[in-house]
Amino acid sequence: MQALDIALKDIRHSFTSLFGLVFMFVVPLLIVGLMTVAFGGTAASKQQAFSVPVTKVVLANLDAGDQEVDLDPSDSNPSTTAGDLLTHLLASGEMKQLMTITTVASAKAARDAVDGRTAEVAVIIPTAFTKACMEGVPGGAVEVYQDPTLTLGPDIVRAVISQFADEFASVRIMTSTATASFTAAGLTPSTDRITRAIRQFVSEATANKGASGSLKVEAPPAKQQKSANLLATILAVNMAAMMIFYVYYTGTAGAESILLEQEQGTLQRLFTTKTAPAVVMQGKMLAIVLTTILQMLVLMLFSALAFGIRWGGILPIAIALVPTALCASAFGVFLISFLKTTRQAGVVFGGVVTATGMLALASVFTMSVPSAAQLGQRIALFVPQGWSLLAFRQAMDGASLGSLLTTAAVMLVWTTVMFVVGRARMARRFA
Amino acid sequence: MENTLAIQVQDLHRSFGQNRAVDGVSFDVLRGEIFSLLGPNGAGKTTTISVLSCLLRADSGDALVMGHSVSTEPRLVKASIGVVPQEVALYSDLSARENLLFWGKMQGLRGAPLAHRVDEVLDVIGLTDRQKDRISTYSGGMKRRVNIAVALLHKPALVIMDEPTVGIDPQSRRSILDNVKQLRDQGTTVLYTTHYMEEAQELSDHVGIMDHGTLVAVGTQRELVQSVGELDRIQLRLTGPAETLLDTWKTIEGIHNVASEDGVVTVLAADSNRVLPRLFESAASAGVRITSVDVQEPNLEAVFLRLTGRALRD
Repeated sequence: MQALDIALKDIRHSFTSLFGLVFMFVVPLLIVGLMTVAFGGTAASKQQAFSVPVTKVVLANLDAGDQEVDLDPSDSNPSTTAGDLLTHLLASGEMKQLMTITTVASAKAARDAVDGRTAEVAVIIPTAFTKACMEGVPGGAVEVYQDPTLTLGPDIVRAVISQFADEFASVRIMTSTATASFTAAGLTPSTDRITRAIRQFVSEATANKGASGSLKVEAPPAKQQKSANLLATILAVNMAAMMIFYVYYTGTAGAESILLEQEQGTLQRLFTTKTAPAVVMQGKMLAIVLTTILQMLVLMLFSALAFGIRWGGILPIAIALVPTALCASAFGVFLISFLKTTRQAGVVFGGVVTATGMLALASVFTMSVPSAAQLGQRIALFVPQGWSLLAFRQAMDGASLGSLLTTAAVMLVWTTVMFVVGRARMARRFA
Repeated sequence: MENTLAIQVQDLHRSFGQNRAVDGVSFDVLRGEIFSLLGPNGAGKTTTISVLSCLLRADSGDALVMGHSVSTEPRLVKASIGVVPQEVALYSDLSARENLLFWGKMQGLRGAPLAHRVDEVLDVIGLTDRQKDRISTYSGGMKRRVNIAVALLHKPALVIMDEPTVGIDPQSRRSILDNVKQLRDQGTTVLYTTHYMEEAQELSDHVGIMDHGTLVAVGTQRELVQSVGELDRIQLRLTGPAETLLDTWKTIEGIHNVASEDGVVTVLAADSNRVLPRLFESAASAGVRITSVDVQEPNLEAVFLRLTGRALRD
């Protein structure tokens, strides 16, 4: 009963500190809120994906074609040029989310449109574009004339054009190589067959004419769904990371009350009462555990409502939350046991808590870098915060109960070791 | 004999590194008395009572508090004592009443008995009107009074007070000293540490003088004075032919010395009460008029000076 009395007193003290409240609730929400704004919207709407603004493109197709080649005999145009194909590709349905195409008759008109800010990018397909694509002759470079203040939109346009040109180049190289090989082998290559091969490529390259078209801009359904939830995933992981970072901070700040009471003399006075020293420490620990649990519940609830973050089922979250609270509390007791005054606590807060917190965040920083993700996750597991983050990610990802319990068990081991060491060091100071 | 003793300290030792804070201290405190440990800062008073409060372990030796060993029965010791620490040990963000309720719970009190007891002690320290104000808004003296009240909540048989009047105004000091005497009148034993000689003189039934971790003397004030052979100092102003009178006074039994300076005659005597009538008789016989008399009995300051070779406040 006395432990609860001590815990309630400490909790009251914690929640009457404006500084404490800001660090417990405001800062982590503020950081994630800023990230949400930075990513251009909230994930509250499931329909809203990470979006790129549509680029206004004005296109001048000056390609004269090749009298000997009709790249698409299936259509009504008797002499389809590479410029026509590129125009068709850029104006296709797959590109609508990225760019809108307006065609003009001349290169000057295209450039004037950009200069007059009625378009953001001008694409000028030169007269010899088909010849350049088919025969590799010079003078076939497509000009991309852009608003210099833009980066992302023109880059996308340039990337699509490059890919188109590369595909043509690869076919040209393939046919040249095949022809040379046949000739070297004493065979006469069939011009018809080569032409058919090129046409097959063109038919597949042309939008809406083949599922395997190499220029088709299409993502598989699963990936599309993943993309739609990309922001939500990023925010959820970052919110969990911020929450854990500040929960461990709260654990340390809560344990600092032991030092504070020692300096005020109230801890020594507690030790002269009927209440056993072990009960006093239990009360202190209980206060930190309850405070951190409350902090996590508030942060999870608020972030779910404000940012649409899905934390997972109640049981998995409880399995992640309770050991995290215990671990953060023991972490605080452990760290504080090495200090003698509250003045030293600033060093601990600024150094150890932040450093270990950043190690745990390594798994977040590297999550979008496949080559570093595994290393980041391993580094994070060197500190208790890393295990807490892992538990929350498992809960959010719907991991099996077994793996979640294993993570929780590791956290409880951390808790036991840190609390026992911290308690022993504290006990040395008093009879 | 044991039933009459509240505290028995037996050859207590406690060091902090090379510093022997308490070095072989032994003394007894009777039940129902005020026992003062008098000594300058750093004499070892606080360390001694920290051991008696079970806050520190003795390196060697032991103490029985209300019949229980501080080394083997700390919980029983703690149940029978109330401790008033040197510094105010209260929660400044709580009110006086909230503080008292909390500390009462730590002493095992609950519910209506606790609330009733809190009302009682608030009345004793005269802070009933301010009970709902935060401690942070109190003056130093008011904080000291609440600090004492916390130790009285569970009606302990022994109250240990560590310099409870340091740094407070005379009015609050007076109030605290009166409270201490009230406690004794109610049968509570008080172990009181101070470096104020006046407080020890006013309060104490017995005094222990500490210096450099050792107890240099223990006894009543009178016993201590006698033990060091200190004399009463009688200062007189005379009118008339005093030269032959002073020679006469030197021959009176019990007078150790007579000196005259700037019209003031100083007489050192073992017992001023016995020699004063004879001084007046001989002055009247010699035709000398005594216009003023000032008697200074030797105090603890003088005892401390004689025992340690330095003043109490050095």
